[in-house]
Amino acid sequence: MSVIQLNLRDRRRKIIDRLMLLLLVMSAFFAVIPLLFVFYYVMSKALPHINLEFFYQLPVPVGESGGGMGNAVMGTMKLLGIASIVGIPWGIFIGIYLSEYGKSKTANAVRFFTDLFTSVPSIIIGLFVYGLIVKPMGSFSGIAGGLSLAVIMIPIIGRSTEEILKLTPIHIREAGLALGLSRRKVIIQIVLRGSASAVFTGVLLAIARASGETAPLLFTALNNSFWSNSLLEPMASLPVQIFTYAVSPFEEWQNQAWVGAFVLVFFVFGVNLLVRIWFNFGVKR
Amino acid sequence: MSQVDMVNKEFLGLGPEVSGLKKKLLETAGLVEKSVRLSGDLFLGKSVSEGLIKEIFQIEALVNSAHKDIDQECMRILAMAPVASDLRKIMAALKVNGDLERISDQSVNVAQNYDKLDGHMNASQAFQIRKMSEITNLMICSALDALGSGDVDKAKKVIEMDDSLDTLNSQAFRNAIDGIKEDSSQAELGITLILIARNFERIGDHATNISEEVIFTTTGEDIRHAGGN
Amino acid sequence: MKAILKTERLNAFFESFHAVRDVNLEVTPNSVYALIGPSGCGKSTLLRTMNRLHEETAGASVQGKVILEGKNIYDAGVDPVAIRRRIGMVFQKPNPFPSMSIFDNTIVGLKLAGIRKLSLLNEVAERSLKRSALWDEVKDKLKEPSTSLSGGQQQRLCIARALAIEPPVLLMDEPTSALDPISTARIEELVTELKKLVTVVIVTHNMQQASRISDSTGFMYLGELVESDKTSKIFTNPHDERTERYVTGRYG
Repeated sequence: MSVIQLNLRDRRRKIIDRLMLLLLVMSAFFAVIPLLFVFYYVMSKALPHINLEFFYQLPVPVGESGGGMGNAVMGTMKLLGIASIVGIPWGIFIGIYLSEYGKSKTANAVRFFTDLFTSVPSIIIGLFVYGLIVKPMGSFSGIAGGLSLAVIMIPIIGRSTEEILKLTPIHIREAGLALGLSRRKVIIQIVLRGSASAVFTGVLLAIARASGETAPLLFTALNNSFWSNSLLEPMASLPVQIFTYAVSPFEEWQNQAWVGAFVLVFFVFGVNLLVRIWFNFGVKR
Repeated sequence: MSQVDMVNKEFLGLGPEVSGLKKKLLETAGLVEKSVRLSGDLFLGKSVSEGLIKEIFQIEALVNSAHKDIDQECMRILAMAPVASDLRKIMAALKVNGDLERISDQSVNVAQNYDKLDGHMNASQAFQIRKMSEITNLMICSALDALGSGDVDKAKKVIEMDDSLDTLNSQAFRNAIDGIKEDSSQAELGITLILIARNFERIGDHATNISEEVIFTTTGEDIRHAGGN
Repeated sequence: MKAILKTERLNAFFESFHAVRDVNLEVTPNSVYALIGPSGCGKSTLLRTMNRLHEETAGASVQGKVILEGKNIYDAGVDPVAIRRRIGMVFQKPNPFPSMSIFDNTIVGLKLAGIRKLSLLNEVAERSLKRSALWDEVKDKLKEPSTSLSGGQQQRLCIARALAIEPPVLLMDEPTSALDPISTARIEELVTELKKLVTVVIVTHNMQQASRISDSTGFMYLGELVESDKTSKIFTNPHDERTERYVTGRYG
């Protein structure tokens, strides 16, 4: 080929290159736009009504001014707390089992069921916990709600922990064994400790995911207009409360719902952002 | 660097290098064998000595040049870190190279000493030298054969022949001393004859050295300095 | 001299694959024993039977005896974990524990075994790092992450880590094959020094390395220990034709 022909091919290639780049940027942009739109919309609807009372006052009947969703905020935190206490160790345990002993038939079965649970609609999980706990107990409760969220969190944590632990190369484990450490010590003190940051981020993401689940709570924790005095009572939660208020015909309640939505969105977004920052600054030493 | 025969997919190691070296060594050996034979032919009583001496000197020039080339080749291959039989072969090649050069030197010495004699040698003296030369020729021939083929038995026979050469050397020494005692004006002649006998004895020694190297290369046994000499 | 490590009719399998066949060898104390042979000949597998690491692989099994200081480590009732405290191992790819500092890496074998006394740990760390010729380079940055070291330094850290629990035998599986020539030379020097303290068994695919640093060498081929002798003999006049072919590079 002559030099002139090469130059023309070159130019054409460069133009196509730029065009493709433009298309990619535009698609990324379009993917982000709905998200930004949601943020903006929720913020614009919520900001005029946001106040501190939201976080510590009980809901008030229609017509009365003031009030908040303090019990729902507290409830969500309690539910997530219960879910974490049960779900995190269980999930990590499954993750360790699958990564260290993952080649056996039993392990494959466990993995299969774990994956299954992640794809089950959360309302089914709610019904599952309803049949398991709510019915025998005879009432809706915070415990049941927390457990249903745990059931959602466990497979997520399990699989993410498994993947993270599998990233530790086998010769690190062998080095631990070669030092005369038992398998248990190698897994916990070396492998798990080495990936602690990453595992923790997996946990945070699971929590963020669980915080927004509404359907399972409808069958387990239900809702409560007042503070829950014990875990055996029905418990309020942000998602359910937002839902209740949003579908109501009352404007004050709808405004409160927007504030609730804003808080929830902000919480989930905040956790994800935190995870990103932590990962980039903490791990990249 | 280990070589590979890309056609037959054989790993050749340092094989080609070592064979190339051996070929050069055997070529030089052939020249040296001729030089020794010619130096013995000087004592056949014919008057072709002029041409013989010239040829001996020509061969010496070639052998000296080859001596340097082969030493350099050995060094080059040693830098490739040969081991086992390759290593033994290169070590042997270095030593044999030195032996060949000195054999050629001894031939030249014989030619120079023959010149000094100026024909003043009697028949029996010439016969004695001639006998030594025949044994030496046989030793050199066998040693160089063994070098080429790795034949340990042939090498061992060469070592055995060294004894008869030493005996002849002692005899020549005795005869010459007796001759000097009888007639002191024959001193120079006598001493020159001793020197010539010694030259051939040295050639035999070098042939023995070469044979010992052959045995070491093939079997890995170092049989030098065995048996009271 | 009585052997500190001996194998008797040692066989190793991966499922039904017979990787190590009937190996009998002896290692004298305070010496370096090298295992050479072509890829896949079983030398690494053989090494890993010596600290019972081989059986940690799924489907792997061992038959025969490995006798350490007079006792068979494969006797019923022997705890593999305890054995591994008597035999250290250094791997091909330097593998300091990634989340730990240089200091923590060095004494991890002690700390996780329950030894907490800080003065003792400091003492052991300094001694081990000095023995692996790394102390001078890291003494001012012991708390830095182990990943801040170069490849050669990391490998010396792994050697220090193994030495910290004071095993009488140190196994090394191609310890310098991932390193540059200068780091390699330093570690070879180190191994020669370490002989005074421990007995070393080293697997290497670099024959010059074996002839440089080992006292005895074993040549393995297709799972068999073909020849085992003094290093000088193996490399100047080996007994077996297969050994001769391998060391002179005629092996394909």
